[in-house]
Amino acid sequence: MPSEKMLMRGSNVVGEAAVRAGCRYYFGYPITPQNELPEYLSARMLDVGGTFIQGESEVASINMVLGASAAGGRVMTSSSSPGISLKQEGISYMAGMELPAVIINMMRGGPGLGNISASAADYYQATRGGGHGDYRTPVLAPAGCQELAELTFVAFDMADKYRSPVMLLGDGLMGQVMEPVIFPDFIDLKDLPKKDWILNGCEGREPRAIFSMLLGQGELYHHNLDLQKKYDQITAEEQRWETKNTDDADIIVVAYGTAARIAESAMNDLRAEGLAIGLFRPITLWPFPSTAFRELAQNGRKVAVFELCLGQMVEDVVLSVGERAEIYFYGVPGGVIPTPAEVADFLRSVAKGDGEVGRRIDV
Amino acid sequence: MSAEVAYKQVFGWPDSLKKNPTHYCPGCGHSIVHRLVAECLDELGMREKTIGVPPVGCAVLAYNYFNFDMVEAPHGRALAVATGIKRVHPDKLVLTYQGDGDLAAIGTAETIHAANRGERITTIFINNAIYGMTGGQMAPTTVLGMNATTTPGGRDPRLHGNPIDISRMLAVSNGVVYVERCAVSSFKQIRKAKKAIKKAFQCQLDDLGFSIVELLSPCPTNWKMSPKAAWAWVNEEMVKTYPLGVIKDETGYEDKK
Amino acid sequence: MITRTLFAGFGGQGVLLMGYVLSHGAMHKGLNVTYFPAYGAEMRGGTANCTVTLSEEKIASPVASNPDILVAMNFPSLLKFEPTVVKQGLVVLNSSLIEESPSRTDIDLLQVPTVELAREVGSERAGNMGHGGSSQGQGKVLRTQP
Ligand SMILES: Cc1ncc(C[n+]2csc(CCOP(=O)(O)OP(=O)(O)O)c2C)c(N)n1
Ligand code: SF4
Ligand SMILES: [Mg+2]
Repeated sequence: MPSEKMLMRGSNVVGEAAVRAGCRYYFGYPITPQNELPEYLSARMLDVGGTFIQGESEVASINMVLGASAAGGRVMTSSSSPGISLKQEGISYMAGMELPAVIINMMRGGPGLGNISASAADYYQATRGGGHGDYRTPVLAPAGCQELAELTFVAFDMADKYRSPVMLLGDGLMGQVMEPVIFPDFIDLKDLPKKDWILNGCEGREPRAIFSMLLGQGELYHHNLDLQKKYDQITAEEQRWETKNTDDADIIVVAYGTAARIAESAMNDLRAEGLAIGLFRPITLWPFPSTAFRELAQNGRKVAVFELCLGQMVEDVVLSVGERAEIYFYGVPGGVIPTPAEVADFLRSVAKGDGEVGRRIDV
Repeated sequence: MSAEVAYKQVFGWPDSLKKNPTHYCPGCGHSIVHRLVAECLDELGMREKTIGVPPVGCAVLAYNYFNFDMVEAPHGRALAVATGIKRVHPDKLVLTYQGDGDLAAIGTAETIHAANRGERITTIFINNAIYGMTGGQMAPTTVLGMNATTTPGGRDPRLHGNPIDISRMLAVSNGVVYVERCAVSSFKQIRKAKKAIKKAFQCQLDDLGFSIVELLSPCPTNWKMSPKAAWAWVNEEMVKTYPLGVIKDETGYEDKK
Repeated sequence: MITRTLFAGFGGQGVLLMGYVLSHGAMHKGLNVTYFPAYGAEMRGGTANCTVTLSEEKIASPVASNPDILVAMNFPSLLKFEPTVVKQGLVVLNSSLIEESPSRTDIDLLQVPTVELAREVGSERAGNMGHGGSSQGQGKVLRTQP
């Protein structure tokens, strides 16, 4: 049975959803603005007989995740930007070893220690692999509490399906905002996917080894080609997005996560003024929903990209539509949250083509 | 027939060791320790219930030699990885096999904290006072005066810091129940080392806490010595910085003579 | 109808709790709700505010450009946020702490002697509750509920 409607903050929503999705292992290190998540899980794991460890660092935590995943556990870690940087080595290993796990990044302002407010400046890091080597991790970008709950389930399933780390990319604001949520029902742990590759002692079978070091002639080469096949499959099958008011739109705003919600408010206000604005919200950031977006951004429509950083996703927009549309960009640097009114100014400026707010991207 | 019955097998290839030739240099301590670990697991009947974590270091390919489940860890993170495994499979014997650079330099935090949590894990710690795999650079355990490729003229405490005695540091933690330092540089010491390893595993099986056996281990290649000279150097020089013996024992086991 | 209320004051005044209680009540009344807290690194003594948006429709942004209602628990909050309130919006002041009046004339004003009211019901610490209640009792929010 789904839960009753509950008023919860984003961070806690992820924690509750993870438990309901069958996650019984959590390893993490405190960092604002996502501390409520490990705090919540430290208590919740006691209820359900799971494991919670506050690791000595993000480095240790991601490697505990690696071990638990190799041992067959449904496992998760969470952090915010500086901590995610520290986890990258482990994420690269897990991609190479094809180990599933869910990694939450509640992004904050950077670079460096930056600040603890919301930001979306880790888009490159999240969508381009983040660590060393030729790999990608699927990235899901929820835009509110209900979606945080639902995409947490999706993230665990995708991780197992593709044997890959999957990242859920939120931000400091999303982690703090409270909204009513209805949680999906608890997964019966017996229904979790059977894994025939895990390490649990070699009784009755040959010993297994899981590793990423491939020194033999051609081994790494073929391993990378196999990984690429998997990434191609994910790109073909997993693109997710949402559109609003796009049918009659002259301008399509592209934004994800918290930025998409601010943009949507701006769109609603401007529609009342008679401007035909539509919204395209990528839900998977990798794979970027290029196919759907390319189709939408035809017919002389203008494209207006809005980000909580100074321009990262806009590159994927450019890669998707190239010169087929005029592309404009407006971004706010890390750790500052703009209001719908500011975004509305940008969109008015795009409509007029006066270049007063934001800038035209030269493709 | 009856003649065969009269023979009892007293020595053979341990089940816990695959029949693969190792890549270790002649005279290297790693291969001796592999053999000891395998013999102990066989004797405890634990091969099929063991999950091991090799290091990044000369023993990175240990999964090609050990005949049980193993998973690679990034350099230094073996005890974090092992923690994750042990929490999923508390009923399995989980071991890490780590060099001095792996355990006492890049992985110091993971080592201290896993031990201090009292993780039911056994660590086999190969102290060869050098970075073997990368070609003989200074290790945290390199002894004073010793030449490494990054300590020209010998390790100088003012320039390079002091050799670290991580086993003694770990011993002060309440999570740690058993710490012994042995060597694999004489037959007598090798036999002692085996006893210590077995005891450390037993300690985990009895759910007592964290256990670690440090093994002073010759690296003839990077010490630029013959295997024989390397053994002698361990016995005569290295033990001055790292004296052998039990460092901590709260197992309560009576040592069977 | 959509109503955005900004609660602001210093940490420890229960500003976040006021917003939370309103959000909770509204959810149980069947409204859509977003509660967006903002506070500095320090939880006590620093500034704190939260924005509660209530609507019968789905709420797009939890971040509001301009609040319909400002609940100001101290003078710096009044100074900072008064200019952002919509025309004909409502400002609810904690008159136990704020002697000044807003400079704007295009808003409704409600002055609540929070501390005195709370003392009447027996606990100064209940000040935030009394104050939060006044902001909504004015009818600007619950009016959305038939
Ligand atoms: C993050 C990272 N840094 C550096 C290395 C390179 N590296 C591989 S093994 C090693 C040192 C190994 O020394 P030790 O742990 O003493 O093992 P030994 O080879 O002596 O047995 C280093 C520095 C690495 N693999 N990963
Ligand atoms: S380099 Fe040293 S530690 Fe490595 S295999 Fe050779 S002898 Fe052993
Ligand atoms: Mg070494």
